[in-house]
Amino acid sequence: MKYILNVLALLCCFQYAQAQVNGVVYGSDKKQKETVVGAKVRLLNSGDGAITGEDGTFEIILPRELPDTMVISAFGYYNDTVVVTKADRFGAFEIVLFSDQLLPEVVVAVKRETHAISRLKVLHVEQINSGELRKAACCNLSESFETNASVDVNITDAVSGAKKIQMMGLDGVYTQIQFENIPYLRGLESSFGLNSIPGTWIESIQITKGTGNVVNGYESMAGLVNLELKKPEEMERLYLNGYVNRFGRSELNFNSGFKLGEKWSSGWFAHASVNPVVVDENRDGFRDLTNGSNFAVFNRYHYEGEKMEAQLGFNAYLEDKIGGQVGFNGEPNQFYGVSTTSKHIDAFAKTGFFLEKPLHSIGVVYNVKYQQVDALFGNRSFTGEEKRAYVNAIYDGIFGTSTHKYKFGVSGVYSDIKQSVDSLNDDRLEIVPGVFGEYTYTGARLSAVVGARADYHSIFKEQFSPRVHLKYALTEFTDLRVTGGKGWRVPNYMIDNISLLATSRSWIAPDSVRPEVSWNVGGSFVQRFKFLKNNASLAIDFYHTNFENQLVVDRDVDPNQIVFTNLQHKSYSNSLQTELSLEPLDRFEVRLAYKWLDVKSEFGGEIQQKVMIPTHRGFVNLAYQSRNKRWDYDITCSVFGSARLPINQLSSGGFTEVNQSEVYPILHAQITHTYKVWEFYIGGENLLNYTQDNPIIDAQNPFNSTFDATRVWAPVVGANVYAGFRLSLKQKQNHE
Amino acid sequence: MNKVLKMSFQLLLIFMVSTSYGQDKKSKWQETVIHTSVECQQCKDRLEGVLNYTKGIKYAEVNYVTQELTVKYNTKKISLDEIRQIIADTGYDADDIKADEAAVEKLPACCKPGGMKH
Repeated sequence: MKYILNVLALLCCFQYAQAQVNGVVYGSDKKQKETVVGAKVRLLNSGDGAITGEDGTFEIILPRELPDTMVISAFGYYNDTVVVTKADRFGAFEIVLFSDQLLPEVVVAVKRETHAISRLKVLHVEQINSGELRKAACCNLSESFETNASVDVNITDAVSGAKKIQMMGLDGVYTQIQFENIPYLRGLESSFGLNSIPGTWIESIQITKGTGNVVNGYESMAGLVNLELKKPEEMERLYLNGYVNRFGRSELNFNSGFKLGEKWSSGWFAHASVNPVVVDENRDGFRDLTNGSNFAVFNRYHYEGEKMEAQLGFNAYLEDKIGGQVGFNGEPNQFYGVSTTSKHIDAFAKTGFFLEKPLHSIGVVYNVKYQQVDALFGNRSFTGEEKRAYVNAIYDGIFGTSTHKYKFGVSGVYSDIKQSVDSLNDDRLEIVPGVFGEYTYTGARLSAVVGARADYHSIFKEQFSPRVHLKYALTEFTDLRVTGGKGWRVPNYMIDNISLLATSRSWIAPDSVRPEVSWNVGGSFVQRFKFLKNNASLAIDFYHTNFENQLVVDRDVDPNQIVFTNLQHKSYSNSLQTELSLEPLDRFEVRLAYKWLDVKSEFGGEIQQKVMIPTHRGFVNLAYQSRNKRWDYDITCSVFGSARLPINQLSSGGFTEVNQSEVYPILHAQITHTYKVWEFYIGGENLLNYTQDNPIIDAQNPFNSTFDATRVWAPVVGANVYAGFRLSLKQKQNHE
Repeated sequence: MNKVLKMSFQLLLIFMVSTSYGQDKKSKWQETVIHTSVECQQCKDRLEGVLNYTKGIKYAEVNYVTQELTVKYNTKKISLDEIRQIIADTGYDADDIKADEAAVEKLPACCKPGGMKH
């Protein structure tokens, strides 16, 4: 600890000959604002310049002699000039360029009211952009987090192929996943949902730690993951991707975007994958990987008119998987088998109206979804059905200038969810109307977002969730952020823990289901500096989450039971993460991260660490791109520390003796070669070939009372090697 | 664990060797800066896309703020004048050689002369 403090102190005292500022350039045509890629930023006196990157951001060195004049130009927009003074060395610029389609008088009027420069995001947001996504041959969303240290992806049992994310050591159900700001992958999708979004559909992912904005609902308790899928007007005219791996899994992805006349554009996405080969490398008689297929289609439209903008889309998904003993063929027979069928259809629409006053708008989001999940684990079964409708209306505006922004609105959720496990039932009809308001202040050094929402749940009555986010620029290179707030959700103990059916332990249902409430407080410290002439950064964050009424899964009461209880006592999580990013050579990036997790609750009558959560985790990512951009190399190595395991009874009558997992490494690597519109990649996962010995307890007697396939803490299969290609043809741009 | 460590070192070695492969050996490799008329990101993508797939060129990097192109090439396979000509044929000025007018016509609007000025 002392060492860390020393390093911190050292970094804070760093003296810089020159100051540097960051910024983002947006383009606006009065109605909407989006980031501008490739805008030029120049300082007139010093002559230095920069170009905005993929996400519209730039960095520029400020000279000693200030003030200077910064000129920002981009094709299709009026140039803008900003006088940069010494005071601007703190924080960052947000520059809005105005479309040259607007009349000059309009631009002047808009600028007078909006004060185009403000500071950057208050919330601590990590961005995974398309370049990062290419580093892993993402089959689906769960693999997209491979090169990220904040989100962990875990397999939950050795037979069903289900995967779940974790943030701060907390189960994925406490992280709100949203698709372009629509709450997504919730309810029945919490266990198998990550597989339903192919990686090739994703444009970028934003990860917010701690409670998110109140605008998108009450369920972000540990964090918020927002997915941006490819946009019809910008995506490839044709994109094809094929993938095959050593275990016989093969995939095909197809995307196509095109314009439909002046104002409409459309995007089509299709995905198919099959996994026909039975793999049992550890020879325990069980499939190491599930067999089956999944199909997904998504079709979206975008309309851009004078006074309004609209989007709509449809999505359908079907997945059929079987796992369990090799002899199981999907039909009930004498073997232990696992089969899951998951399907959904959903539709969404977004409409935005631009009001007469600049930067005032009304947006409404609609989403309807039908979902069905059926699963069989040996002789235990689960059935689930969910009908959901969601609407959220937001009014966006400013008080005077964009220093003071506000949002308010109303939301409504209708959710009819039916679940059953064996003879237990959990049916619930929820209607949750809500109101929310949020105020954002952006000052020179201090920025703040203060928000609150009130929801009325048809069963559990009113809930009030206040949230505060603050950002303070300590120096021009140092940002300090603090966050605190409340989140809540109604647990679905059946689907949330469906993997725990892969055991003979009996389920003891909770007396009643009540909302889980969490208070999360935390903060982050980000220091940017120069290392060997290139940009580098150090980020340290700490978050504490405290639960009230958490629905705890207790495997420590009795080795033959899994007890679900609404915990009255203490349940909390502390998470500390440090991440260092360097570029020691041009185009060679190094990322090092370490994470410490302290997730405790009352298990078996005493406060102890949650099972399967390693206290320590380390992570290294190395990436290199050749100078002609034709070769990309990427290596990621994670080391997982020891975790507490539940105590199980063995068929001999005794109990498991080793109740701590081993420390183990996981190594992924990939090489990508680009040739004009083609890309070819080859890579490997778990290249150190680490597997857990005997992942299934009593695999020989699956119908015995001691059978358990849920004590899984490491990969079940060894090294995987894969290869694939991508073909991408761009759409013709308007201004070509 | 020992075996694991050994293996990871080997992999790291392979990685490092493969990335450093092809560094300068003889003086047949020449690096030069050419002044061009590139204006924006689209010009950069276009010109780099052409040059990085031209035989004899190891890499080409465009900085459109300074309007400079850094190119490394094999003098036995291609000459500097030939590179300048390729740039001109793509629609951009290269030092003294003027851009081919027919090619300029085909450029995206922001790459045409004056395309970034308003």
